[in-house]
This record gives sequence, C-alpha cells and structure tokens, in this order.
Amino acid sequence: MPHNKNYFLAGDAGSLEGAAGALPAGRYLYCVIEIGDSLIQPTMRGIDETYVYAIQYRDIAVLTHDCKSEPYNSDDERQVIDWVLCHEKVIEAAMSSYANILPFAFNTIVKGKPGEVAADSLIHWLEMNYSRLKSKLKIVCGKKEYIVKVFLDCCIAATELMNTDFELKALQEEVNVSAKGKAFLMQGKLQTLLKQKLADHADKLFHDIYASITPTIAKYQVEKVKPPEKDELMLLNLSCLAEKNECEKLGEALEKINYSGVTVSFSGPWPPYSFM
Amino acid sequence: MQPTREQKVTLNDLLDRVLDKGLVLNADLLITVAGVPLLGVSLSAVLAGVETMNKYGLFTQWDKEIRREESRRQGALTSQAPTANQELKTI
Repeated sequence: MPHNKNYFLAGDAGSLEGAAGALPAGRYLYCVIEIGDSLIQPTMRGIDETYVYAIQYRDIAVLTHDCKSEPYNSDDERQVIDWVLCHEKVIEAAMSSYANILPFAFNTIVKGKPGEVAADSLIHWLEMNYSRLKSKLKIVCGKKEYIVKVFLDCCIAATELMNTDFELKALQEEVNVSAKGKAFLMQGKLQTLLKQKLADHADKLFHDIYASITPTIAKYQVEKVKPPEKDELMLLNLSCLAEKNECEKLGEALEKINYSGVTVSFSGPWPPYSFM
Repeated sequence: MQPTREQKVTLNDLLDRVLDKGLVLNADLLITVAGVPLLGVSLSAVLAGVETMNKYGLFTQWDKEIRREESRRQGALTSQAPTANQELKTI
C-alpha cells in the first residue's frame, strides 16, 4: 500500500493478518476522533472486553478493535443489546476523553481487501475522506444530539373533539334522535368525520409544536414518525444537534407544550449519530 | 424540561440510532450490513440473512440499493417525515 507514513497504528495492529493462510482480520469501528498535537491512547475496553486502540492519520484517528471478518451475530437478543450498549459505552467514553467525535453504527467492520490488510484499508479511507471528516467534526464540535418525540393520545383528543367541535356535536345529536337503521348509517358518517377532524387536529398540532420548538435550535432533522401504537400517535420525531445553551432553550420550549392528550419525550445527550 | 438518559425510557432511541445511523463507510470496505432496519424483525436473522444471501450472490442489488438509500438519506440535512395525517389513517 503506497501510503506515506503519515499515520500511526497504536499497539500491534495488523499483526493478525501476518499469519500466512489466516483469514483476513477485520477492524470493528467505534468512532472517528479528533486529536490535538499528540494522541492520548484510549483506555476503555470494547465489545467482549476487547482492547480498543486508535489508528491515526494526521490529526484524526479511528477507535477500533481487532475482530474476525464477520459481523457480531447472535440469536440471543439480550446479547445483541449488550453489544450495542457496549458500542455506545465506548463512544461515550470517547466523547468525554476527546470531546469531538463522529460515531459509527453498530457492527461497522472493515475487511481487508485482496493485497491490503484491514488497517491499511482504514488508513486509506481516512486519507481519502480526511477533508470530509474534518468538516463533519467542525459541524459537531461542542454539540450533542438530543431526541424529541411528541405523542398524541387519540382517545383523549377524540373525546375532546366530540365535546367541542360543532359539526361533530350536531351529527352526534342526529345519531341520537334517528331511528335504528338511519342511526347506524349516521354513526358511520360520524366516525369518518371524526377521523378526518382528528387527522386535521394532529396536523395542526404538528405544525404548532414544530414552529414553537425549532427556532430554539440551529441544526435539526425531522425523522420519520413510527407507526401508531394502540391509540398513541407519534406527531413529531426530531433529532437535534445542540450546544448546552441551545439544549436548555429547547427544554424550555418543550416545557411550554401544553395540549390535551399530548406528551413529550426528550432524551439525550447522545453522540451525533443523525448528523453524519 | 431536562433531557433524560434513563435506559428503560431511551433504549429505543439508542437502538434507532446505533443500528441505523452513524458515519457511512464505502460499501466495498465493509463486511457488515449498513442501513438495514434491524429492529422490528430478528436482529440476527437479518444480519445472517443478508450476509448469507450476498455470499451466494443473491440480493446484492437490493443490498446496494439499501446502502445507497442510506447514504443519500444521511447526506440530506433534513428529511421529510410522513405527516401525522398520513399515519393517522392507519389507526
């Protein structure tokens, strides 16, 4: 591999590929870190107590551990979740040690290519993507990810609409006084109208809430809402990249959300997964 | 309102991100499956399934499309969420 030696393999990286005939080893990736003048070696343990080390190129590095060229895979969901939590733990330890990081997804593993070991492939990738990675590091500098989810309890909202909406109230009264057959048909009409009013109500809530919280943060991303669970509808799913003071403002804006049947979930701080 | 990190509340938030987002590597460097929605179906089945299928030359185009779509999606600053109105129609 024709790299100039503008990089550094901490520990004895690459040795796994040394044995003739051995399967090419992989490198499990946790995150890219930005380093100062000199690299402070990580001290955390990774998935399955593996040794986490840094592969450096200029002033950035990747935290990694040596692994087989195959994904972590188990039938035991608890085991998989433990791996995921361990992945996250390493990244969060890196966040506090190095401040500025770009996280990889779980199970991101680099393989060696023919004639090239995995560590070299990784260094080559760092070299080729150096400017892009530096720009991303600049964007996330001093910021963390927060997640805002807003839910609507459709039962509560429907009850409220039935009590306050003129059209629905009138139709309900008509159902009440109609003969059995006609009442049945009117009931269907009422349900359709209620569904439409509920959808309009949810749309209005989405726009009102969106407009009240997004001015507090400079960078955010609207995520897909999850399918409804029972009677709970997700109105808004927002990933926010925020500094500490922006987070406080966001929290204040969320505190003010006060609509019947609406609940807010606010989690973080997370590594900036959504802004890669 | 303060953000929470209580695990029983935030595990889904974490899984959504750790499994589906993060820095994207060139697909030719990777051995793993990026961008496949792992939750909601068996985590291991999807991993094993796609890897095995790819090994035998199956679903490689699908896999490429998934990766491309993931790269495109993550490259976009914001994405359009389905409106609450659309979701409500599925209740």
